[in-house]
Amino acid sequence: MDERRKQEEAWWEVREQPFRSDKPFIGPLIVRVRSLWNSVATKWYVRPLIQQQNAINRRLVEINRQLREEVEQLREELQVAQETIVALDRELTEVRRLQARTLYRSWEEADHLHPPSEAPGESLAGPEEGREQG
Amino acid sequence: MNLAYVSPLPPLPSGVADYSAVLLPHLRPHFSRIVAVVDGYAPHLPLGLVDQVHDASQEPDWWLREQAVPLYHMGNHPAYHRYIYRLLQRVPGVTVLHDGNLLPFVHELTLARGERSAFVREAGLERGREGVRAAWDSLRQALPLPPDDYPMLGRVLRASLGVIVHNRYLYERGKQVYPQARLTVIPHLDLMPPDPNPPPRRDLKASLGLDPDVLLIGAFGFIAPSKRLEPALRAFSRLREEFPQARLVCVGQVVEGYNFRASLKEMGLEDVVRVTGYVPMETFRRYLRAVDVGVNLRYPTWGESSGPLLRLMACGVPTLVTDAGGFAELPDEAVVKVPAGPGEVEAIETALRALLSDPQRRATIGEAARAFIADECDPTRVAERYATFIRATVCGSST
Repeated sequence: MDERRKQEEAWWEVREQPFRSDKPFIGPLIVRVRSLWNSVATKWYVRPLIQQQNAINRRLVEINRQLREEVEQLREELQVAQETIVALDRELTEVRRLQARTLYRSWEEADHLHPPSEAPGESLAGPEEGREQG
Repeated sequence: MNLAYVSPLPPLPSGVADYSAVLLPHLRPHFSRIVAVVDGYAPHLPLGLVDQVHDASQEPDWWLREQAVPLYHMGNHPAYHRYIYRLLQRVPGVTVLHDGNLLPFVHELTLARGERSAFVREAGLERGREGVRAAWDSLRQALPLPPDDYPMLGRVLRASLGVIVHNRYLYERGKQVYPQARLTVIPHLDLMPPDPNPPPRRDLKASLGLDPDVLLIGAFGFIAPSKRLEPALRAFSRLREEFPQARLVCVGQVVEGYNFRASLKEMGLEDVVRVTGYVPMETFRRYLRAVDVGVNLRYPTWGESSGPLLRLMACGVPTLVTDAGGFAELPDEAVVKVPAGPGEVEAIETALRALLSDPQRRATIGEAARAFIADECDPTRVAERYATFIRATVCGSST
């Protein structure tokens, strides 16, 4: 694993930062004083907090990774489901075409045998579909 | 045979409604009963033209009890064709496909309403598994599907027992999408009412508030970028000194979001170009008969027919068309074809110069256009072909 990748993966990790100062001449002195004060007053308070925060972050990163994997898997499954629906849709369309053709032909035949008013009424769309559309 | 005529109808401001208003009277003698199926409005039709009007939004399937074979007119206007798209899925019939690209229509029906899965399914119906994957990818990357690969005609072609198109280009496009489709080409209609004694152009120009001596160029219908009016304006502006008496009129509404007037201003053409906005049909027809030259360009095009072009040709107006899609199939002697893309402005300029400077040339092309429309687009003959195809599709082999 190269350094850059390590850095990318550890973006969540909270670290203690070294003191710095840009002041000429007295800069190193300032850094030294701050470091000393830190080791006496704040270091022992901040370190456990950092550790606690890192534990939370580590867990969140893990949850995030799991969720990403799950989303990807669901997406794949959804695509497969969509493909199945499309295949069924195509079959349904074909069945409806055949049904319609048969129905229309029967109307035509009935037209030749009986006056149009005597031919039985029939519907392609079921009542459920009718309500849905309405 | 009874016919359920499922189409936008007047007074809807739609080209398909205008088409239907002309076709219906000629279809009437071929069917025992005709039921007009509309969606939530009362159509304005002459008395007795249809036996019944049924509102699909009230009770969608009772008209089937009329034993009427549906004839659907499918266009790309979401508001006018949504119910048709849904009905033709449930109740297969014969469909007239007026447009070769339903992607914006499907987009409006699905994604615009937040129905991503429905959009993916439509793409799947178009191109199977590949379509499903491509649609998901396009959604994830927020990139549109390419209309050339996804014209979204699959649903209509698969669900229809037969499909009528108006040109060979759309026929081939349909066969590409669904090779098993039963397709036929029936030419578009002559939409102009017959006028045996049209008034002279000079009088018509005067009645429209124009100088009778102007050479009038006209563009008709919605003003949109795909109508290529900006290249036409550029060509026109180059001819101003040569033809100071030339004027351009754009008869129609500018589509929302298109700042056409800014282009006019930028080119300094405001004083020689008139943009009428929406005008009543009577005024529209007067302009059609008044113009000396028509401009009916379109690019990109997916095989849709142009009502204004057929009207211009019926009026004997020599018209510039883009040499693409269905327009490319028109006879060379009946229109003037100009290429799209590089050299378009120069080609328009050359074509306009040739027409504006030569009245005889205008007359020759105009007469050829008029003859073509009279021969190919005669409503009586077109309606006969409709009836023959519908009967053959319903009673014939199960292709």
